[in-house]
Amino acid sequence: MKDQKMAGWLSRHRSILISYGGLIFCIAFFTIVTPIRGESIWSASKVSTLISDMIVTALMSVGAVFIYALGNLDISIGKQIGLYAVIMVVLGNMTGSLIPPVLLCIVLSVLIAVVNGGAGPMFNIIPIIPSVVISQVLSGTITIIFAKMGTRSITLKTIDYRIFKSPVVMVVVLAAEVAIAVLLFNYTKIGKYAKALGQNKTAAVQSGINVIKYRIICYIFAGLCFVVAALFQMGYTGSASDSTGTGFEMNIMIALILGGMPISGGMRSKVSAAVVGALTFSLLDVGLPLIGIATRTTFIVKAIIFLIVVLMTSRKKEGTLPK
Amino acid sequence: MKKTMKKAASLVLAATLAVSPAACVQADAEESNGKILFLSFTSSGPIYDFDIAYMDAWMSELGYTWEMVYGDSSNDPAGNLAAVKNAMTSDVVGLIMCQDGGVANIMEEYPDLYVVGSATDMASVYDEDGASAACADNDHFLGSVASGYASGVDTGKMYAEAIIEKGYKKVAICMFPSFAYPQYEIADETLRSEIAAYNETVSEEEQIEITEESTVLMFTSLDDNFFNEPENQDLDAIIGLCGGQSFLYAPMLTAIANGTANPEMKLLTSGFESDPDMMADVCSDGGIVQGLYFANVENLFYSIVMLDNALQGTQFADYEQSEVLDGVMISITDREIMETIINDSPIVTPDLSTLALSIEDGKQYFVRYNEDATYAALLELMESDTFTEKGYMD
Amino acid sequence: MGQAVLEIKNMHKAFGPTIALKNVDITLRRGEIRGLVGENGSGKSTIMSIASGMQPATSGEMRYKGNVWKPSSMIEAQEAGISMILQEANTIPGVTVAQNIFAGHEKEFSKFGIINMRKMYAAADKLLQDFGISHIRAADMINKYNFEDRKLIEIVRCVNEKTEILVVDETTTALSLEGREILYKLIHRMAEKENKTVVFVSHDMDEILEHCSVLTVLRDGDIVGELSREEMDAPGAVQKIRYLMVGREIGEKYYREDYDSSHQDEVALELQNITIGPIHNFSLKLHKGQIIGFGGLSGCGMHEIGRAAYGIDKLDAGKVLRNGREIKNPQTAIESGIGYISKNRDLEALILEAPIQDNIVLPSLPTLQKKGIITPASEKKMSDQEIESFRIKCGSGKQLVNTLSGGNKQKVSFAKWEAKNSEVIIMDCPTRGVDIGVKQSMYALIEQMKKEGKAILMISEELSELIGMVDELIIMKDFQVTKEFVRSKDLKQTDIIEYMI
Repeated sequence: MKDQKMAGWLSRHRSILISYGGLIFCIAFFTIVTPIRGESIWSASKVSTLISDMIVTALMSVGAVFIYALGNLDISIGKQIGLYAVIMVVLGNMTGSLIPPVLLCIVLSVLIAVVNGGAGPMFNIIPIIPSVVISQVLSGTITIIFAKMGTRSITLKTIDYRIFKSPVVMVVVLAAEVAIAVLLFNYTKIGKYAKALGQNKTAAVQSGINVIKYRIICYIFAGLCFVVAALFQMGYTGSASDSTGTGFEMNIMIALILGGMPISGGMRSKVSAAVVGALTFSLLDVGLPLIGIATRTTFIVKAIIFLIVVLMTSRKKEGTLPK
Repeated sequence: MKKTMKKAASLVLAATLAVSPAACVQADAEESNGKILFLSFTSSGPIYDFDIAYMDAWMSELGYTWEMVYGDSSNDPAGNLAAVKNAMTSDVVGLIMCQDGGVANIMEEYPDLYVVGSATDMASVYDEDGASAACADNDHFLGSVASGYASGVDTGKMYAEAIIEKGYKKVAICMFPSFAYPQYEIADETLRSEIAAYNETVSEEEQIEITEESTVLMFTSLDDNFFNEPENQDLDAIIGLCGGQSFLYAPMLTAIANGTANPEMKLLTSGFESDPDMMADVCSDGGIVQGLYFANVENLFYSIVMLDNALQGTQFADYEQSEVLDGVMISITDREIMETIINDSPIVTPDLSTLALSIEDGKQYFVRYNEDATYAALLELMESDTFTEKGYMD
Repeated sequence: MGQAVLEIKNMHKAFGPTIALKNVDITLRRGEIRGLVGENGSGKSTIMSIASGMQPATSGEMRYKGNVWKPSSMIEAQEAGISMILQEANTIPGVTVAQNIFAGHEKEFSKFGIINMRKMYAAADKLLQDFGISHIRAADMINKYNFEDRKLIEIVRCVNEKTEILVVDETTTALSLEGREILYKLIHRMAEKENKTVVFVSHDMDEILEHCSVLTVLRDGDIVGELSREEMDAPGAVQKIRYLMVGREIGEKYYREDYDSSHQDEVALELQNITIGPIHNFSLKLHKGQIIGFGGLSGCGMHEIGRAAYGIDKLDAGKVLRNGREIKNPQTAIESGIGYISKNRDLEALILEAPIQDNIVLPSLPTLQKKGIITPASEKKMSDQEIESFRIKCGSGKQLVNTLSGGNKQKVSFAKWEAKNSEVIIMDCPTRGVDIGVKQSMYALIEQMKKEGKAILMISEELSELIGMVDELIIMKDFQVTKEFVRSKDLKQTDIIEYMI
């Protein structure tokens, strides 16, 4: 009887065990192996590299948990980051402060959230479609902005952005964002409704959940997280380019899956997946070159690890892709 | 079934992780002067293959280890910085960058690192308003060789001369967007003014017409509709201020085959593709590409010399300030040159026995091998015909 | 007593840690209609699925017509004479009725590899006639026929002259009334005229009592009793069988015993001239303390009325009102104190992959939150209270709903609205797939709700429970009300059926 319970618990929490297991394995492996090769992954400079490598993905992924929980995929995240970064640099240079551009970004993120979250159920289309449209609109906007300025990358001139390069600030901001996300996701209607909608929309509706309202709220929270992420992305080099953010939505997907997020969203969604996944991925990013694996090979190693996690965590029943 | 799959998967993982570091131990075993990172923005193609072979040869000669690192394919500063940071180990002493995004950020992050450019004009460094302008005065920044003429004026003049020489009477210009390649805009203007000046000197029927507006290619192939425009239907040539073989050649071929374009239409462009069909076309009878201009891959030599002298603490006595040099150009204007490039140069196949400047001959430019070596001598080499097509012709 | 045709000894079947059959012995004889009853999970379907080759036993022995019997597939069993009509739909879409009937037997009609379709249609038509099925034509595409007719076609396919044992597994719930009659006729003919064996697995007690010649009762993988025809006819037989099935005294009381159809005057829910799809201008007033039932065949429109009353589907015209507020969607319905238990429990009423607790508290979250925060303790308190009061069999509220039995799942969907304290409950097929023991407690609960002044709309495909529970019964056919009955001692199923079909 006890064995049975144990087995049940194991199978229910399998994906989480695998993802935490992956993280713990990476930490243990790199802790043991990197010093042998001369440079520990826990040296001050490598820890700071690690944090700066993961921060943007982690900040975005925490927000994206609310979208993935709904069972949705947002293609436009990368371009959102790109646009916010451009706005921060351009408007920052114009006004000499980051506050006006950040406010503008927040307004934009809410508008985008309304479209991305609301258009699906309102017009009865699969939710990935509005995000594809948004992505293309943003991409076009970014291209026009850079074409008008006659450059591929722009830099903050007068504003001191060093604060965004501080690992301490990164950790504090990430911790704060995670705390808010956990609160919203586990202790309020927002997260509970998101999971219910992601798992079984019909049952959720029959239990009185306002689909459009809560979808939009989820997308808005995610959008705010993207603005925060954009701030750190921009602050990394104090610049924005026409390719800033390109492909970030894929990094998020990889991080969340590595972190044990069910690919189809629903009840087993977890905020921790974002942090665990982003950290695991960055450990590989930073750790693999330290143990002498050529950059070219690290892509393959990462791909293999990703494949293993997907094979082990996704069961047929839950294997439907997000929409 | 599932269990075996899982077992197999974990075995693969364990094996990969266990074997890779072991395999790399050997390379590090010999005494090293440190490691050099080579930040590339491609991971394939003839240039990439040459860079690897050339770096292998020189680095082992000079006693460094080196590693290829992949920067952001769109030259995003953050992407380049992240690539360098992740690859950074304590033995890294130098960095060769094939693009300029984030140079200032990298040099700020690693103040002891020596940085040199290769095949990039380092526009953001040498433009006063550029994001990395601070690097120009940094003594750890050692300059660069452009992937063509550093100045668009020279590029424009080169194409104007080619048009006049070939006798084309009606041409159109296709180019990459100026926000990505500011020099191309200058080249475009120069080309037009040069032709206008030429038209002043000749009779009316000998005048050359350039279609009104240059067509901007947003890193995609030329749209087929281009040839439906009436003014583009009787073009003698297209000037491609871009990687013309990739972006213009195929649409032109299609348009000629469809009869929508002048069947005698030609292409003058930059860049080099090692695709056999494209190489067969260049400057052949009836070939579309009648002029192909690109910087020699061997220009990398300059960057290696500059980096080694700095790292060895043996800087040229006459070197003062970093600068960006014109990349020495190979101009393929007839079939014989093309054949030579294919068969007797390291450009198509990275065969180092065909180098214009062999490793042995190159040593004289390094202070560590030749105390009398001067920067002036190196500049003289870069201005000579050694790295032009003539360097391979004898 | 007829000659033994299939002997099963010590049959044991385990699915991982779950034991479905515990060393069961059973002997099937010629000429009998053997009823197998038991609650869900009692193992009644498992026995025959093993005998008909669908799955192997973990251990045990079978002898069929004297020889050791170990079928490796259903086809092998069918060839040898053991056919099973399954619960699930099993026809091949996109081909004709005849092709379905003779699937796997095309050779009989082919010459040089070419199938003589005309010959096949003729043979199939004749077969259909023999079964007394006159409304299905062999040359038609199967898609033309509804679920109920397809089930009949399946029966025709399963049964042939070689059939020695026919297993009918919960098939009647999928059949129309005429279909049932055809099936009953068939099994009686096979058993009584052709001296063959029929095994009749069913939930429906009335049906079992009417048609079986011998009855075996199972509970938790064990055979707990066998009743002869005489014992079935004896007074109190129903109580005895129920006792055997549930394993404890469930008492005399099952349905409501009063015949008082009175209710309070206050209207709890009003449907004002609603038009939705093919339903036109339907009006209804449901009062506090009243149970209104809807009966009819599955496609008669009664389910649609339930959905409309809860605001799930948009009305074309008319209004649903509660206390003067118009119900436009489930959200306003819930806010006004209406609860809805969908007929489609696993897909609509419950989130199977979620814990019991999450399901129970889901509609109540707005009332549980304090300053926007919902504490796990408050959720647990609410859910534990309902688990306790409904006696939901589970380890804890954290257990996933999909690990529960059908009856316990249904308790969870009732508990949602009990927790929410809903005053109007719309229940669509509230006891579908639920064991007798649970059914009884559901009926008691519904009666209790009525006493508390709650208003109930009970939509059901089971006439007996409607007759047993409701104050007013509305019978529908083809999206129209054909008859209304008031609660009465004398109301019989046979009086009602004529208005349904």
